[in-house]
Amino acid sequence: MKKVLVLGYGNPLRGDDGVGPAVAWALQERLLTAEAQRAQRGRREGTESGGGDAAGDGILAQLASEHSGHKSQLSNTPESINSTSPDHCSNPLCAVSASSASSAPLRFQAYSEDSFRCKALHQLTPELAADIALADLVIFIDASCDNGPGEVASRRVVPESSPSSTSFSHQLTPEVLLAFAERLYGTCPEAVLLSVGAASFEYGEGLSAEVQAAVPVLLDRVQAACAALHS
Amino acid sequence: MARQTITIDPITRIEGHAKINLYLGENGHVEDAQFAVTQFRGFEKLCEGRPFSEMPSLMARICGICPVSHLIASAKACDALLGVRIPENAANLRRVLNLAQIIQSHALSFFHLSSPDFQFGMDYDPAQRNLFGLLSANPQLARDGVRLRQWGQQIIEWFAGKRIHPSWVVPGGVNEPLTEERRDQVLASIPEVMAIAVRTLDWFKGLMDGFPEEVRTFGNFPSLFMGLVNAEGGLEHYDGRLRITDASGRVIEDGFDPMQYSDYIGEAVEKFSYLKSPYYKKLGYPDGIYRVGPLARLNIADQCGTPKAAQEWAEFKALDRGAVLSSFYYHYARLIEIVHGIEVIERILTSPDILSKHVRAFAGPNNREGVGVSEAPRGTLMHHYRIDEQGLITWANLIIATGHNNLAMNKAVLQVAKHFVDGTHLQEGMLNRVEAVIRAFDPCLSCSTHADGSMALHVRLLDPAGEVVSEIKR
Repeated sequence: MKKVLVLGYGNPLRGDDGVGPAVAWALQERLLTAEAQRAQRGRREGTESGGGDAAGDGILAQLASEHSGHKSQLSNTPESINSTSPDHCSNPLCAVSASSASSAPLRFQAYSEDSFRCKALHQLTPELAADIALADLVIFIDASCDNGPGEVASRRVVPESSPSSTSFSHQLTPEVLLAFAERLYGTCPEAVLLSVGAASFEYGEGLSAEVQAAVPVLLDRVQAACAALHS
Repeated sequence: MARQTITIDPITRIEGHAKINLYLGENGHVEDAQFAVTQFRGFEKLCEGRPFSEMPSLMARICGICPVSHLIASAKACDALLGVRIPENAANLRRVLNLAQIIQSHALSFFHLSSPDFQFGMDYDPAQRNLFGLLSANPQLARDGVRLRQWGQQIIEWFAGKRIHPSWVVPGGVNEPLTEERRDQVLASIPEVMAIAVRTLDWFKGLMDGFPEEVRTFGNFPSLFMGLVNAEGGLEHYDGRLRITDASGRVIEDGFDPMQYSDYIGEAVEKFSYLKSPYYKKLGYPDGIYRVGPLARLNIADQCGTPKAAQEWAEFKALDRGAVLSSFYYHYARLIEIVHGIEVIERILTSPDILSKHVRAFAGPNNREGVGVSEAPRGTLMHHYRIDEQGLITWANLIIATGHNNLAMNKAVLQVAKHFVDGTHLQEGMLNRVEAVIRAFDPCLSCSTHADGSMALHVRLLDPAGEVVSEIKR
């Protein structure tokens, strides 16, 4: 199966800039749910395989521990750790991802952790070039100043042909990152940038109503891009 | 000719946003220089009123580049509030995490931000003298940089759950023990990353002789050095005692209690920058200038404690009779620390108790005040909190690694600018050296903003009426 890499990036402390990570977290929850369903089906059918165990040590389990670890910060008592649940999470983005996951149709059953990887990132950094070089399709998700609030746009991304001297820092553009992968590893996947217009980049967690409403749209776009890749 | 000003804004290939002002005298020579941080963050104020248990995760948000460092210093300050001695295994796991952070950060600094200057030279065409040019000229070096950084990030992700803003480190220890599978995965990759670290160090040592002027003028001056050392006086990054040495290598303060840091360290404020200027109180401001970070850590330590790094450290120490003074050697020290970090990670992960399930101490707050000190990639990091009887933060003070180096960076910029910059005939290579000396310190200015990645260098020479006399853009 072809490999998809989703990179949702932005700063969750700057309002709508956190939409990339929010979508990535929502995708991770869908994958976990799909994984759990597969495991349940596997158990019903009396097999050990069932597509993997969500409680195992694979990528999906990492994502699970990331999410649960995030929730267990609020106190230093064992009771508070054991009682954490999505309802107790202090991060409003968790609510976004949880509700998105529960209401959206699950169409990720076909994907394994090898064929679909999803990362929530603060920014694009150079070492991602190695992950990109292993993928057949990369989907970047970012907030944008160019679209109207909540408006989703999609464009194909190609490697930067002549980066300027200032293109490299601790954070890169999708174009430069693709060029990096191409030059270093001799391979460059198809890539698309899904951007959503932000209403606010002010300090604070949580998405604006317009951008929050765009999260399911972005999830559908990701699914559509994956489906197109495999059709 | 009246006094003129050259402004470099923003500085490229550093973490964050800053500018450099160069003040020219009548003959066009540089008279003064300022390294100014233009961002205000305010984390010390915004955490007031929050429960202390939130502090590690909150403080980790200060920076997307070195969240682990703030996480660890913050957790140590919270350990002090709890009044607990965390399990030894938890301390070792935190130590691994901190070293992984240091390795990946050093890799970014050396390979991605500074190595183009070494590969091509300071005066080379800036259109080529960047990471993209490096990909063509030395792809192995570029791939090695990616791999080392990926390795450090992978350990953080495996241990702490995620690379940016991990939440595994908590007051009292860590919230999950290490699994056997993860330990074995890290150990299996050590020969590969050690080979990268050693060949990069050899590459850099082979070209250092080509930069004699930079060695001589890049922040090469007597100063104090500060950092943590372990119980044996050896190189330390997670715990231990604070030590200050002078330029001759003499220890002038040893083992002072982190809680008493304010008896030794003062913090001055300059009007032109949001970055505070800490100084050693006994020498006053600004004579109490000191440096922290890789160069300082190797200078203050009595030994390195791991075989490969010890050999490299001995060579490094032979560069000078006392302390190694040139800030150009920050790069060298950074590479030695990568070797040391890999060795320590291997040693810890092969220790018999590393999979122990006892990784956290539980308690309510027992102290109203706590200080946590650790070594971040760029130097000593201090978190100091006070809480009320409900455990809510009433006051916080952070002294970040880059802050400790503020006076030294200003002095280094002035030294380089005086030596290289001719205000009557500006050339890009001159200004690149001014930036490069800042990059040697690898300042991290907490870039939480999500910029568009198009930071540019724009230098203007203005006359007193504001007219542009000369201009360089890239």
